[in-house]
Amino acid sequence: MASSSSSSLSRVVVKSSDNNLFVVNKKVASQSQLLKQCIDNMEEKGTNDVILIPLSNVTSNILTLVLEYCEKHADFADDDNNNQELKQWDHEFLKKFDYATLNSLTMAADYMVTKSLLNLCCQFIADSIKDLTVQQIRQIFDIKNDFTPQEEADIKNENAWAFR
Amino acid sequence: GLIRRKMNNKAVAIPVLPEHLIEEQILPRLPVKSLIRFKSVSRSWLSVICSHDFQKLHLKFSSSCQTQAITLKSHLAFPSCLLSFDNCNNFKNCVELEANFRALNLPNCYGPPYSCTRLVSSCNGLVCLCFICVCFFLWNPATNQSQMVNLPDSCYHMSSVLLRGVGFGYVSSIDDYRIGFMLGDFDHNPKVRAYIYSFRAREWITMTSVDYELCRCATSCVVVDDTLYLSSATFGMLRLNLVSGQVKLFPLDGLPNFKHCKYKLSRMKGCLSLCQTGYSNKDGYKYVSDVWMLKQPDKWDSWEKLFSIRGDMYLHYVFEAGKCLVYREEQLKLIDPYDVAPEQFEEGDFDHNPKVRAYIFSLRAREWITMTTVDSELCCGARNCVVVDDTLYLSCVTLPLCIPGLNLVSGQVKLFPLDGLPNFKHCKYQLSRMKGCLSLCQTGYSNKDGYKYVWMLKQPDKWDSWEKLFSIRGDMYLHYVFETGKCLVSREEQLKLIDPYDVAPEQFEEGTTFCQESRKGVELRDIYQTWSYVESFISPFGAFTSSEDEDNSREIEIVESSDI
Repeated sequence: MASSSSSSLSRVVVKSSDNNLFVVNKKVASQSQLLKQCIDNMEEKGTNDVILIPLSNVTSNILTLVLEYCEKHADFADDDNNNQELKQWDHEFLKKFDYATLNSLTMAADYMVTKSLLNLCCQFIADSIKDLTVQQIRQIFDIKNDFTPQEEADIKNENAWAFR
Repeated sequence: GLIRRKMNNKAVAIPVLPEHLIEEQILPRLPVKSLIRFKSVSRSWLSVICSHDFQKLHLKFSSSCQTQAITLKSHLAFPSCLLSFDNCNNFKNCVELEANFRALNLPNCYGPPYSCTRLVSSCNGLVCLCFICVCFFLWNPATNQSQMVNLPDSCYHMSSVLLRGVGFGYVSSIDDYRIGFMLGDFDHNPKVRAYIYSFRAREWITMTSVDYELCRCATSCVVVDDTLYLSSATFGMLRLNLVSGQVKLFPLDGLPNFKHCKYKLSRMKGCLSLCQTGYSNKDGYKYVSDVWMLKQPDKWDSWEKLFSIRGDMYLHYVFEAGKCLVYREEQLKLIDPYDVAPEQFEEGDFDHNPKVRAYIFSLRAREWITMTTVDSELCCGARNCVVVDDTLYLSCVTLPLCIPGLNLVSGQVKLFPLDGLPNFKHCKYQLSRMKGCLSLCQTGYSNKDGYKYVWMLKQPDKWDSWEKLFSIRGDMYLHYVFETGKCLVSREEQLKLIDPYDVAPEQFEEGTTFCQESRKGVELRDIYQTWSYVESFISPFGAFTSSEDEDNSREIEIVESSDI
C-alpha cells in the first residue's frame, strides 16, 4: 500500500500508442513498475483526479495482453498456495502467440518494467530457439552474416561437436 | 551497432528485439551447447558469447533458473547421469553423461572404466571427479572440456583405502578453484596429510599433517567459500582452510541428539548446512532428516534448524537454493520445503531404484526366496556381516548405535539397538560368531593407546546381555575371531593366532612372519577379509542326506541396486 489516505485512487487510465483507453484497477497496474511509479508520484502530490498514463510504445493489442497477465498475477499475489496453477497458466498464456506478438510483448514488458513477464517471455523465447540452426537464428533476429566463408568454417570446425 | 539489422522497407517486418534484451535476457538463458553453435551467427554474437562478462552473467542465470543434479551411479561400471527437473519440480529426464559428452577420456584403470571414479563435487558447472589414487579430473560436461590433475608425487605409494575426505570448490576471496583432500600416510603412521591444489597456480600447494583419528570416520565433505568441511562421526567437524592449509577441529555439541544420528554436509544459500539423519525410537525406527544451517561461519552455536523431512522420504541432496532431492519408494522427486510442505509429496516418475533388496537363497529349496525391500540407509556403509543361527547381522558405519539384522527364515529386517555397550559411539565394531553366539569386537582409540574389546551377546534377543570377554592390546590388529574364541592377530609384519583364554594377549610371542621375502607382494595390511574354514563333506549342490530337521546350510547375499 503506497498510501492509505482517503484520496488514494482505486483505478487509473492507461492510454495505448494507438490512443485506446484502458481503465485499470490499481492493484493490477502495480504489477508494472512503470505504472506503479506513476501512481505513487501522483499520490504524493495528493491529486484526486483520475490519472491518465500514456504509453507511447505499446499498441492496444499488446497492452491488452500485458494487462491480462497483470490481472491474473494480481489475483494470485496474496495466494501462496497456487504457485503451480499460476505457472501452468503462464505457460498456456504464452503458447498461443506467434513470434511477432511474443517479441512485441517482450518489449512491452521491458518498457513497462514488468519483470516477471519479461522473464517469462525471455525464457520462452530462449527455450524455443535453443535447438534452431545458425541460419534460422539469423532469420529470426534479422542478423546479417558478417563472417567470411573461411572464418565461419573455422569457427564451426572448432566447435564441431556442438553441431551434432 | 552490435547487431546489424537488415534495412527492410517492408512495413510488415517482424518487430526485432533490441540488442540489450537479446544479450542480457535471452542469450544468457540458453544452454551452453546452443551458445557454442551460435558463435557462428555473426561477429558481434561471437564477441558477446566469448566475453568474460557474458559468461559470468550466464552462470548467474543458469544457477538461478535450473535445478539439476549430477550423480555417479554407484562404484561399478555405471555411467554418471545428469538429472533434470521441470518447472513443477518433477523429475524430467536422466542423461547419461559419458554417452553424450565424450571429452572425458578417462584412463582404463583397474578393469572397467569408471570403476574407481568418484564424484567429488560440482561447482559452477565444473564437475570434479576423483580417480581414487590416480588423479583428479575437472570436467565441464557442457563445453566438453576436461583437465587432468595428477596427485602429488608423494601420494603414489599410499594405499587407496586411506583417502579421507575430498572437496572441490570456488574460493571467491582469491578467485581460484581448489581441491582439498586428506590422505592417510602409513609411512608416518598414524598421520594423515591434507593436500590442496590450486587451479590458478596449477600445482599442489599446501600440505598439513592431521591426526589420523580425526578423520578416520569421515563421511561427508563440502566446500563452503574458503573452507573444506569434513564430518567425522566420532569427533565433530574438521575444517581445512583452502587458503592457509590450516586444519581445525570443531565440536558439534550444539546440535541436539547428535550422538544418535549421522550427518551429511552441504552448502545452502552460501552457508554451511548439515542434514542430520537418524532413526527415532518412537515409531519403530522411523527415518528422520533434519536440515540445519550455520547462520554465521565461525560462530559454532549459530546453528538454526530449517526444516525436517520425515517418514518414508529419503533426503538425497540439498541444493544451494534449499530445494531437496528426495525419494520415496520407487520415485525420485524435487521438493521445495519453503514452497510446499514435504507432506504433500506428489508422485514423481523415476525408475532407478535406490532401495536395497534383501535376497535369500535356500539350498534346500534350490531357489532364491526374494524378500524384503530395505531402506538403503540401513545397510549403507555395511562393513562386515555374520550369520548367527537364523539371522544375518550387519555392522554399519552409518548406524553407530544399532545393528540391522536380516532374518533368513522370514526375510524381515530389524534394527537391534546397541546402547548397552559402553563408549560405543567412539568406536567402530566388527561382528563375528563365537561359540554359537553373536560377538562383537569393539575397536576404539583413546589418546593413550588403542584398545579392542571383544563382547558376546549371551542370549540372542536380549540386547542387554552383552558380556565383555577379553581385550586385545592396542598395537595388535585383530583380523578374525574364530568360533572357538581364538583370535587371528597381527603385529608389525607378523601373523599369529592367540587364545585369550589360554594366554594373555600381552604375552604375544613371535608368530609367522608374513611375506617377508617379497615385500612388494601381498602385505599384511592388504588382508582385509578373513574367514575360518573347516574341511567337510557338505555338498554345494544341496543334496541333503541327513535328517529333515537340519537346515542350516544356507547362502545369502545382499545385492545393492543402483545406489544413487
